[in-house]
Amino acid sequence: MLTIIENGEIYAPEPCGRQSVLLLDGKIGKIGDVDLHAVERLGLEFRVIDAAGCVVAPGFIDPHEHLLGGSGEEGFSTQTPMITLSEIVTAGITSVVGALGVDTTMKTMAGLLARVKGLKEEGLSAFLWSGGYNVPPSSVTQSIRNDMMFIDEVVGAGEIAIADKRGLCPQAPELAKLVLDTHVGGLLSGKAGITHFHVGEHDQRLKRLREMLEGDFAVEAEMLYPTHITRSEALMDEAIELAGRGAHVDIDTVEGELTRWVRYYLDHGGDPSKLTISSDSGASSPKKLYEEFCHAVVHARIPLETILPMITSNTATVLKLKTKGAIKTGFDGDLVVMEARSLEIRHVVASGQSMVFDGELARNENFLETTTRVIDLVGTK
Amino acid sequence: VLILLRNATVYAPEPLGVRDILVGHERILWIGERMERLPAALDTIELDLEGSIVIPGLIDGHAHLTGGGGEAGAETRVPAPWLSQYTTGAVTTAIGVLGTDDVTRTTGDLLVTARGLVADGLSAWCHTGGYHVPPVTLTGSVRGDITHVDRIIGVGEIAISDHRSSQPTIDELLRIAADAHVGGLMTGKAGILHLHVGDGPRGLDLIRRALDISEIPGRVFNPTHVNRRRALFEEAVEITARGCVVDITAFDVAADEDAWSAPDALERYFASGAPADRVTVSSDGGGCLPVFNDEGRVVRMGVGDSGALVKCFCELVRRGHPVERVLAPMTSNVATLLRLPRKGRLLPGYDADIAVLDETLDIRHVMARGTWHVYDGVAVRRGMFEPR
Repeated sequence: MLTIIENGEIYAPEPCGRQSVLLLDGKIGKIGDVDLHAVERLGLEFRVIDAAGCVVAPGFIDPHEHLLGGSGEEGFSTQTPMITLSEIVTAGITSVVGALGVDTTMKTMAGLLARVKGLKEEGLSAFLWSGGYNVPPSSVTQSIRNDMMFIDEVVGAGEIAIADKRGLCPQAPELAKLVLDTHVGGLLSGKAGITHFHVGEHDQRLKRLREMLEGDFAVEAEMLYPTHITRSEALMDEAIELAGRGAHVDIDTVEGELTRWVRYYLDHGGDPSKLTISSDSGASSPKKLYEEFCHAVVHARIPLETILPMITSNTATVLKLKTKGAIKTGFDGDLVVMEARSLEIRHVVASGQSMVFDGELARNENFLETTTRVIDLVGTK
Repeated sequence: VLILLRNATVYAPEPLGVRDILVGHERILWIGERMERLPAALDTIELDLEGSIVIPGLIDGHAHLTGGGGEAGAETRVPAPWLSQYTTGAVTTAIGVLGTDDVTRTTGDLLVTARGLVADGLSAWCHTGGYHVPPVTLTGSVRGDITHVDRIIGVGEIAISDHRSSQPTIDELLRIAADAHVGGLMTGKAGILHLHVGDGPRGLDLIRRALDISEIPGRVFNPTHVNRRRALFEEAVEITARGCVVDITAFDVAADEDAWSAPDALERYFASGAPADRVTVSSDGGGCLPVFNDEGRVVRMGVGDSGALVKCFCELVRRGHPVERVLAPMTSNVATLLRLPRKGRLLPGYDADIAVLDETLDIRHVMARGTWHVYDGVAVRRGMFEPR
């Protein structure tokens, strides 16, 4: 199947002007002029996406979603249900990394892995962090390094809690072992091998990470990837400093205020190539990532080319997803087509497959074919 | 960005006649009578294959990707075959197994070796376990391995009727088969129990009993090496009526041996009237092929090679068997049993795994997932550590 996306302004994520993109099955085959009528004459099966008046961007990469749902920390009834395919793709997200959080008892690594595989079967690109808040971390094969080696979808360890009363007060020596074990797993498997840290509200902030870097541990900043860094300006300042040493750092969009924090980060000398944005969905929706991104560009006038890398190429770099996060020949056919002014989503293509077409959901969850259930739940927050 | 193969005589494996095939990225985009000249913007490379036969890349359902052997001491451990040993034999998909040595060889090593071949452009999967019971696994259970690990599709080769086996009981065998079957159901993967059958006179007895007393479908029990004894082969042909797919090994057979060569075995299989889709041929590539004397000592040692498949194919076509009939056990039959999506056939949407043979059935070109590995008879892609 050929797909031609024509007349759009390409943001690869850097602005590249008006060009067509040709997808061969799931991959980007060519960027440039493609004679549509000539292809039509050949009798090949093909699909045209008209992107006139639109920007064409790489599909968004969300590095942190609680795909099995949120833990629910006020009793069993406050657990949230799993995140569905349609919630993810209607937010323009074509790659997602699943995580466990506080609850690694009822929500298991095997369950999360199965959810990731399910989303892959439905056409998304999906990965997972091995672990959860606790240390030593939960895993599929009893060790993070083995998970890295044997489970294709595992990209690193996470989300390991620091500075949080729900974590298990891990000290620098055991954290360093975990970070290095994950790193070695990454070397052996050619994957990211980074450790993704949940940073809690305790005023210890990033102290444990600095202890690892400054102590006698051989841990390097590139192995660390903390999230939830917008809890205070003091924490953000520390994150900016850590990014200066080479770590990637991540802002989640749960509480909103993305614009404020991106500006703060950039105004205070934060390295723009080291910042990523995640939805941390579970209790909140993946849509929040898209809404905050939209608000930042459309209302707060942060240039598209400034913020787009934070949900595409920067994220692909830290996760070492070698064919993702950019519109380049040979890369995966993951694209989002948005109205140029409003950034309203017109089309979402994941590995060449239409997920959203003309603003309508084009791909449903597979399980819907075999159920009579009607599920229509709307949060009141 | 596109490759257009013109004027090829195509066997998909069923004969399609002279066709053009358009390949884009890793897939077949189109097969038809005549493709017009493509617009220049598509940067198409054309290759005229007039007079050539085009077949699906072969699937070797039983290969020791890590190397096997070690049955006559440490010096008899076979090294891992390199990439071009598959592709020069027109094999574009290989299924890895551990054999006798599932102690120094591990499922982890096998899995990662398969991943390495995939990174090099081939397609590869593997089974968990080896000869022995309980099977060696990665996650602690056969079902866990099939469920959690993308490239693991079944369990095997578990040995029966062999002095090197764990002498599994019927209950043990059923437990393993059930785990594989359920793992297959949960994941859509093969979920088979691939069984190494030895020279022992018990033959397929254990499989027949398993089918007699359990609800597990016949397809789950997949015996290999069934041509190693002539009487065993008769048992194998018979058991296909109960849903089993039987696997013939393409090893060398001496004239005076009580065994059938792969061409002889397939010929007998076709003549038997057994279901055409319940037989496959594999190479046992990378495995050592020891010949034991009565005391169980090795008297001779050979090494299996994925190139044995195409030799078997050529031999049978030269004997006058229709190409499509000979191809199915090395392509579509294997893909169906192993539930490999987009494999084993030349159809639009399928993987561009394609072998081109000349009139004398010599291999000219081999493409794996859209990339030429053998071109004009030369291996143009080699593994990283392969001697050049």
